[in-house]
This record gives sequence, structure tokens and C-alpha cells, in this order.
Amino acid sequence: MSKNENYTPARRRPFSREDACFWLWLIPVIAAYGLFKYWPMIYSFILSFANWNFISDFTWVGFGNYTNMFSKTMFIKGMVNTLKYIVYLFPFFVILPLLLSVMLLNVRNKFAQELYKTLFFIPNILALSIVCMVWLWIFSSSYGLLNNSLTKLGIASVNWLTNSKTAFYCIVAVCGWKYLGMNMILFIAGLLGISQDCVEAAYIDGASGWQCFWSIKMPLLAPTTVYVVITSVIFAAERAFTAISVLTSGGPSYTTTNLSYVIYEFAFKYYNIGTASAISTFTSVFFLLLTVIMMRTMGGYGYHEE
Amino acid sequence: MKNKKRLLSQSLLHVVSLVLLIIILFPLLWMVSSSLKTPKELFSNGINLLPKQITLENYRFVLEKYDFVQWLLNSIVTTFGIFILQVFISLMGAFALNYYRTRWNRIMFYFVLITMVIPFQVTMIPNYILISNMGLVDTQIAVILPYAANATTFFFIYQQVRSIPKSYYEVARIEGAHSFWVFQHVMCGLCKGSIAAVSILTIIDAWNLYFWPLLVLSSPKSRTLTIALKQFADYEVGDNWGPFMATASLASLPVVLAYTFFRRHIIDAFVSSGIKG
Repeated sequence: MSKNENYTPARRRPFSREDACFWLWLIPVIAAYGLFKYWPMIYSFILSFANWNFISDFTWVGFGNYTNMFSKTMFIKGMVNTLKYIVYLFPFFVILPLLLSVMLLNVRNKFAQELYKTLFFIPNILALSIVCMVWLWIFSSSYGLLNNSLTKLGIASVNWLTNSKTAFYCIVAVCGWKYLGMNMILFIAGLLGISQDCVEAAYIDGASGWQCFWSIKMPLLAPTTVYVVITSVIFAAERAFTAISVLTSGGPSYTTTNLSYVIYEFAFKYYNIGTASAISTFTSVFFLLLTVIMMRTMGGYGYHEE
Repeated sequence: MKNKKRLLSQSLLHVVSLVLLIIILFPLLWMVSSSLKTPKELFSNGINLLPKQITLENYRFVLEKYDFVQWLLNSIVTTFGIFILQVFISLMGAFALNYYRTRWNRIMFYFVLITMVIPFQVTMIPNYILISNMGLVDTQIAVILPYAANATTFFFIYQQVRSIPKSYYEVARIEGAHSFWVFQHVMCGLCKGSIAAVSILTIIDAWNLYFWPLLVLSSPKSRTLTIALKQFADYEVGDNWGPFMATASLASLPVVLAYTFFRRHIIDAFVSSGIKG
């Protein structure tokens, strides 16, 4: 902590009153996170060593689920697609919002700026499941809007959601569309938080607009950028889930499925809890590692508690 | 000369923004406009956002034929429950981690924060088993409970609370204030605006929940709006796209209203909390 810290150091008793109060206040937190986050993680780790379908008896199979998992096409595809989603959603989650925020802040008319900000955020507050059904109509092959307009322009219609070449991009488009505004707002907030003194000083020293953006604003924006990048990567999987389940159900031939959806399919379609849990454990470890790596590489700007 | 250039660049900005806005808002506009169309126009192969003949027939159909009020009530109950639990637990956690100074602070911070990384689907199966062992399946409580823990909400509130100068707490301590008093008057008092903002975001997210309610709510009576719409789309939509779009518009209305009223707060809260290192 910074200059504000001038507490007398806690007395060196093993368990002080301070400690007791601290834990008392944390009881609800520990209860909630323990019960609904940590216990499930532990439990699914245990389940991953068993064969079970909700009703049958447990049979312990050791590492069987883990070795089996790698021979399932669905899992392999899911893993590859998770990475693909992260890469393809990156422009929508980071680059485009950054461009948009810079653009909007340059709009001089305050009323228009406010209006744009508000409206660009709108997709974010709508239920993804509901708007996905609207998108379903847009993409639909027989009566879809997209195909209708394409036919009018004289282009052959495409089965957007059932064609293995296009389905993936449809999901990316819908997710990108939905979450664009959130990160845009974060960038706007970050840019507004930059002290004007630095920017003005740079201008006085004769920096061009571009130089000013690249060498002054971008470094000062780093904490926001790091936050946005990390959350974009780790939420890419979760955010795609609803779109996948409503639009394609992971289909055609697993081209749109991702790890989250694979877990769901194994658990609630095939009732293969063992494999689903093994994949869950794999997914947790995968995302934890990914986060640690990102935190390390971007460490200079990242989150320090102090 | 300079003025002219500025005018040009400004109008270019407006044009680009407007074009993007039309693309971005199109699905929403389409939803609302088709809910106002007659079935005949709905299935004509055109893209016109303005219905030739505005009809409220679809809305009447939904309100009369379906359990809309029941769904709405269910949505309100779950949203409210999630909101209270999630925000309150996050506030208590943020308070404890900022007010007290123990060697466990850092560890407990990461204890909560790490769960942000874990996708919901990972904890889904055990949570389902847990809830069904509690005998709660098909109740609103089943939807609410797992969402008591949400690291994103916690992190946001934590960032806000951290910006309160520690000297305020010290003064309160020296004056002999009880920690409840500090919690209520110092922390919640000072962070009112941002708590409002995070509450709105929590409420919007809770309102829009889709996947977990779909798993735990089975009977038609307990469905929330989003789930009801999904069932609608799966089994009855056929030529009922009009009523479907009407329900979808009605379901989106509360969040759009909540957002429009509180949007200042939301943006301000992001600016003031900043995502600071």
C-alpha cells in the first residue's frame, strides 16, 4: 500500500482480535465461494476418476477418463476451437473497442458522443439467448434476412449455420457484436482517466496526434488494456457458450464446439459424468495456466495488490 | 482552412459512427419492428424496418395466451435474489479485505479472484448434484444460490473500496466505531454511486441468465423469461414469430430501461474506479 499505510503493525499474537473480526466478516464469502466454486472443482476432480451417469453405481477407473478423453474427436475439436475462439474474438474484444473508444472521444458534439456511447453499449445489456434467436432468424437458410438480401443482390444463398465453413464465423460475429460495447466503455473510462497534463505537455513539445496517442496515451492506458486482454481471453470460452448452444449446438461436425460446450454435451447429453469431469479439470488447469502466463508476460503493467 | 478540415473530420466521424450504429442496432430494431408487424408482412421477403401497418395484436396474443405474468414474476424473484446475495457478499468481502490488516489478506484476495478464471461449465455438474441433493431443483432458490459467488462483481467492488483513503478507517477506529458502523456509513456511504452501478450490471446479468436456469428449472410454472422464450422458440415458434418477437421485446424492456436511467452511473463508476493497477 502507498503512503496511507501508517497502521501500527499488528501485535504478534498468533490470533488477534483483528484476525477474528476479519474471519467473521469473511464467513459469507468463504461459504459462497467454498460451496459453489471450490467444492465443485474438488468434486469434479474426484468424479473424473469414476464412471458414473447420475444413476448407476460409481466404478473407479483411475486415469481411464483422462487417457480416453484424448481419443475423442469432440474433445480435441473443442480444445482447438477454444484457442481459435480466443484468437478470432481478439479483434472484436480488444482492437475494435479501442478504435471505437478513440473515435468516440474525438466526437466534439457532447450530446452526440453521449448518444453513441449509450447506443453502442446496448447489445451488451440484452440477453444473449434472446438476441441469438433473433440472429437465428437473420442467419436462417430458408427465410433468413441475410440470404434474402443476398439473393436480391444476385448472390447464391449460403446455409450459414449448417455449413462447416461459415458456422464458426457466425458464432464469432454474434459474440463479437454482443461484447464489443463493454470493452469500449472500459477503454473510454481508461482514456478519460488519463491526466490531461501529460497529453498537453506532449502537444506543447510538438508531438503529433499519432505520436501522442502511441507514446503517451497507450502506455498510460496499459492497466485497462491488460485487464481487457486478460478478461477477453479467459471469457472467450464462456461467452461463446450461449451462442453455440442456441445457434449451432456445437455442430456441423464439431466445428463450432468449445471446451465449455463439450463438458455440457458429455454431462447432459451422453450422461458420461466421468469424461465430462475429466474435461472440466483439464479446462480449469488450462485456463489457470493461461492466466498465469498472461499475468507473467504482461506483469510490468498488471495487477499488483500494492 | 483549419476549420474546414475539422468540419470534414468531424462529419466523417459522425458518418462512421452512424453506419456502425445501424449495423450494431439492427438485430434489436428488427426484433421490435417484427413484433409490430402483421403475420402477412412478417413473412414477406423484405427487409423493411418500418412496418407498413403497426399492430399490437402480437402483444395481446402473448399476454392472453401465455403465462407471461408468471414468467415475469419468476424473473424478478431470481434477479432480485441474485442481486442481493451477490452484491452483499462482495461488499462484505471487500470490506474485510480493506478494513482489517492481517497476514491473510492477500491469500483471501486471490482465493476469491482465482475463481474468475474458472468457466461456469466446469462447476456446473457438481453444482447441479449439490442443488438436487438439497432438493431445490425447479425452485427459484436453485437458480439464485450458485450466483452468490461472482468474482467479477467482487473485483469491481474491491477496486472501488480500495480507493477510500485508509485514514478514514483509522479515524473511525480511534473514535471507537463498531465495524458494522464503518461498513455502513464509511464504506457504503462513500461508494454509493459505484455500488449503484455494479448493482445495475448485476441485475442486468441476472435478468439475462440463460444456461443455469435452463438446467435447474423444468416445470413451465417456474420458468424465467429467457427460458420461457427458449422453450417458445424450440416448440411453438412455427408461424408464431410475431408473438415470439413481442415476448422478446417485452423481456428486454426492463433492462433497457434500467440501463438508460443509470447509464451515467455505470460509465462514471468505470472512470472513477478505473481499472487501476
